Amino acid sequence: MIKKSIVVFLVSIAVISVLFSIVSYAEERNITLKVNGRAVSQDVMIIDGTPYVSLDSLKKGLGIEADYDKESGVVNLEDGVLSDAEIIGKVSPSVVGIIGKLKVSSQGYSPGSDNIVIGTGVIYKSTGYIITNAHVVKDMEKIVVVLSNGKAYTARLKAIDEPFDLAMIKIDKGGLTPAVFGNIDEVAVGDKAIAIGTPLSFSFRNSATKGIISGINRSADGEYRFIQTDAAINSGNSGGPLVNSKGEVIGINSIKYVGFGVEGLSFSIPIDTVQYAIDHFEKYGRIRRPYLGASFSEGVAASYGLPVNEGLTITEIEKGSPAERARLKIDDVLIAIDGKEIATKLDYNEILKQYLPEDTVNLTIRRNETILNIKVKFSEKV
Amino acid sequence: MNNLKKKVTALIVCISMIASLLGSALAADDDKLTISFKIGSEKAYVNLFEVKAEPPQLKGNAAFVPAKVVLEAFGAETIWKEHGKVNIIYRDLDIEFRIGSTYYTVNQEGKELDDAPFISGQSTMVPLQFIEENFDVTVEFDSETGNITIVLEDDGALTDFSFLTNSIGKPKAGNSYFGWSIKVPNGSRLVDISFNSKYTYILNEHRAIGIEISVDEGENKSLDVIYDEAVSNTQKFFDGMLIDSGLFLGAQIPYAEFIYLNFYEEWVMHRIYTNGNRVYSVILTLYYETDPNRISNDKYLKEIMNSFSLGYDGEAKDVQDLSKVAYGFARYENYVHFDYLKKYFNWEINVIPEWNVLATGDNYPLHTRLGLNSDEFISVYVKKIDQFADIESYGEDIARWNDKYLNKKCYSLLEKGSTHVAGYPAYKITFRLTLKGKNYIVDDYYIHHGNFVYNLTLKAPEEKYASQIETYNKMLDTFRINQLDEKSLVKEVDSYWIKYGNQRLGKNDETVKYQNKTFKWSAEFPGYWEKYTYSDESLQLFILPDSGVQIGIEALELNEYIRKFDYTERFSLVALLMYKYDMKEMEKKTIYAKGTNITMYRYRIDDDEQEAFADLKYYFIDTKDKSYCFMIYLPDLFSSDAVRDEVERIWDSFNVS
Repeated sequence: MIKKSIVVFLVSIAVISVLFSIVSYAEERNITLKVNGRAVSQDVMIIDGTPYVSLDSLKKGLGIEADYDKESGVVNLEDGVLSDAEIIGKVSPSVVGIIGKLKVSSQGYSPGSDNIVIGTGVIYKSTGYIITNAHVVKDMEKIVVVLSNGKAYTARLKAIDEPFDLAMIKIDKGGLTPAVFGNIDEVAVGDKAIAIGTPLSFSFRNSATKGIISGINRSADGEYRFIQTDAAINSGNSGGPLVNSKGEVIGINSIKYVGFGVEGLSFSIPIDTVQYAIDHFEKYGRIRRPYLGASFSEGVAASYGLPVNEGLTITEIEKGSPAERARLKIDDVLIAIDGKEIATKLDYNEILKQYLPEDTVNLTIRRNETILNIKVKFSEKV
Repeated sequence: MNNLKKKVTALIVCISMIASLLGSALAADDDKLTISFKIGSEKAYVNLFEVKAEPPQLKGNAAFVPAKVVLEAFGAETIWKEHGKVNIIYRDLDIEFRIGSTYYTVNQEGKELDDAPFISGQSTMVPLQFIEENFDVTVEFDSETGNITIVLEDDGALTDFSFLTNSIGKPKAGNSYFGWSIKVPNGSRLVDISFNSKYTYILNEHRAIGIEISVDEGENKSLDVIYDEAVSNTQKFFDGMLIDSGLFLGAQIPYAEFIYLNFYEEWVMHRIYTNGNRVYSVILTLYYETDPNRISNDKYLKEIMNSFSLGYDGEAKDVQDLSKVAYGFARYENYVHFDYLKKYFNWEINVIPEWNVLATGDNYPLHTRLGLNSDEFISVYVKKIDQFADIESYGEDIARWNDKYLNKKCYSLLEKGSTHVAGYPAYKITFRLTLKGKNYIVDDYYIHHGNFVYNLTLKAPEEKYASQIETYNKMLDTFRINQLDEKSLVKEVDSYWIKYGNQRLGKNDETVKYQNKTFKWSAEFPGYWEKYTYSDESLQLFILPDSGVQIGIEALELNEYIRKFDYTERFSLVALLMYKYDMKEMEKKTIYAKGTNITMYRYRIDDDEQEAFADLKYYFIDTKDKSYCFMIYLPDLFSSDAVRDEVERIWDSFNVS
């Protein structure tokens, strides 16, 4: 009889203590997991005074890979952070050296000198498609591509665009490692940036320089947006990739724009422009730029980068152009295209990337204090 | 027992699998590409990597494989066009085939397949025969097992980069057209070569040795004559300090040798050989050499120089042929730039290899002359035109001008009319030119292209014209005008003429009075005469455009000092021409005209070398305080009656006050 009560007592203590612990869990259920000040989840448990966080919240909060392998009894965490050497090792197989001799008919050719040009390129398709700068390959008589494994192949020039300074070449070799393109929206000032290429001498193939993203939304020549970096870019690694900490290509470097702006800073063609160019090269063999036929001048504040939108003033209208057909006038101020505000020539050129020749757009024009909406059909810029 | 057997079998299978993996791993070169298929199987292997593929099929005896898998593995460029056409570009191959057709083309040449490609599912299936016959692969098909293996041994990786570095890959360099060969130090490269390969410059940077070989058409002078000429005029010949020389007529190939320090104080050994009409110069230069004896004593250098031979015809295997002659012609590409900013490649033509680029005397970038000398050449003169009706009216205008201004004693029109040359519609004027007793035939073609007229001219001595006309026409037929940035070239040509052109005297063709107020003289010229831009008030030159006719008027302040000088020393108009040409005095007399005494000197110029055949007349007038010289330079070719009258009228109108 006493035994029974002892059992009951013991059981009840057990139950109570369990209940207690449940109650204690219930009390601690208001614990929030925050990562760098940002609330991530409430999946926190206190066991014996020690907080325990769920694997899922770690994944979410730290942006890492995490899994629990029941069979081997291992919890695997991978932070995906690559060391600089690992980044370079990851991208290197996709970086090629480009070397060629200048055509006799080219501007830079001079008899008696070796007339050799070198640059860098990025493989973006495993079947041998490579993107590089236009200025590297445009005057080459025969283009030679050297892979990171040291083997060389002749390449064909497939498409070229000098305003972007991009060109597409092709080698007839399969099974190559294409580079992974990053997302331009994820690029932030201060991010690590590594430029890989063939600086100065072909024997320095696949060398790397490191810096940070010094600026985005920069323009070297007032035409298109560039990424600015302090990673050293020179004539040899021009055409090569600018990669982020994940080893993704976020830009194609161009020596063409060094010298525009502050010393020590170089420019890289942003990956969204590169992707746009590749799309057009593959579909049309060239870049099809929509053409309005008007020349613009920016507002005074815009040239200083002051935060006011004065629009773009039309200074010239070409005869027979879409602008003329739409009866636009000199001194008209272009404020927006299809509702997208335009403050600088850069904005205009970047927005135009969304359109093709023959597209019709709605221009918001300010003419002598009146706001007009004029429809224009683009033609093609030759 | 069964179990053991199973285990042993399993073990054997394991071992053989590992062995084959190892084996293929060892054999697997970076070069070799192996693609494996199996009839009916969705699994294909590209170098052991599994890929999903449309299953290969057997139709009759022919095995078909999915094209995309094979072409992607090769890395070929594949363009899937409409109407079932497929275009493949792979290295040197440009293949076009069509679904359902056994006929296909490779580099535009037709070929036939036994079986036509077809579509299965989403994939284009091609017969193995297509892969085997066009690509450098070994194909194995086992009809029993259904296994298909395609092996590409050579992926096209480059091993020879001499096209990039211009390195000489063989022990010797030579020219099969001009017939020479010479040993070159290992590691040398070709740095410069003229369009016709008459001039070759080979450099070995590491050893600081340069070897230049030039071929020239001599005047059939013998070696000792050449030697004597060189030795007696070393400054002109070598532009340096001659240290030693020798004539080696007893050598295997006779030569003249000169050792000197050139303008840059580099040691040079220069040997000259002759072969018929050709003169070969072999120049060995040592850069950075401080030992003055090395050039003469070094055995290796001697070996190089002694290896020079005449008799290379392209056959010897140890010679790299540097000749640029193809089918008996050398191709000349005309590059021009006005200000070194932009380069234009405006035309090209094939010429016989002996022809050189000749100086044209007018320095106009768009005037080029190719030939041996001024007796025989092809020239191209590019003129910008503002208004243009058609080539026939243009040509007729020129014919009319020729008729008026060219001296009938020198010029006789043979033929004119519309025709074609090199595929271009053209106006052709053929005439006979008689200068200094020699007859030449000139074919002048005028071609219109964009904003320009291309004047393509052939000039040849009459006898040669008759016998060589076929060769000349072959050359003319290869003339090609290239697509240019015309807008830009027009701008540059316009600025050129603004800078260097002459000023037209009158707005229209009416006579205008030109006054020199500083020196108080005046003369009347037809409006189309031009004033030479680089004149100053004391010396002014006037020219009849497109001719060589010049009137020069020079004036000086007359003082006691000047009076001491003879007219021929007083005026640059005389002194300069006397320096330039061999002038023969014809007449000196005094005449009374314009109310005063005028001294007249007449000369004759017959300069073969400079192509100048002209009458030169000077009138000298002295007033109280000034001395004047009125010069008339009248080339034979342009001294027609019309020109003589025009020039006389201008002289008549000349007044000093």
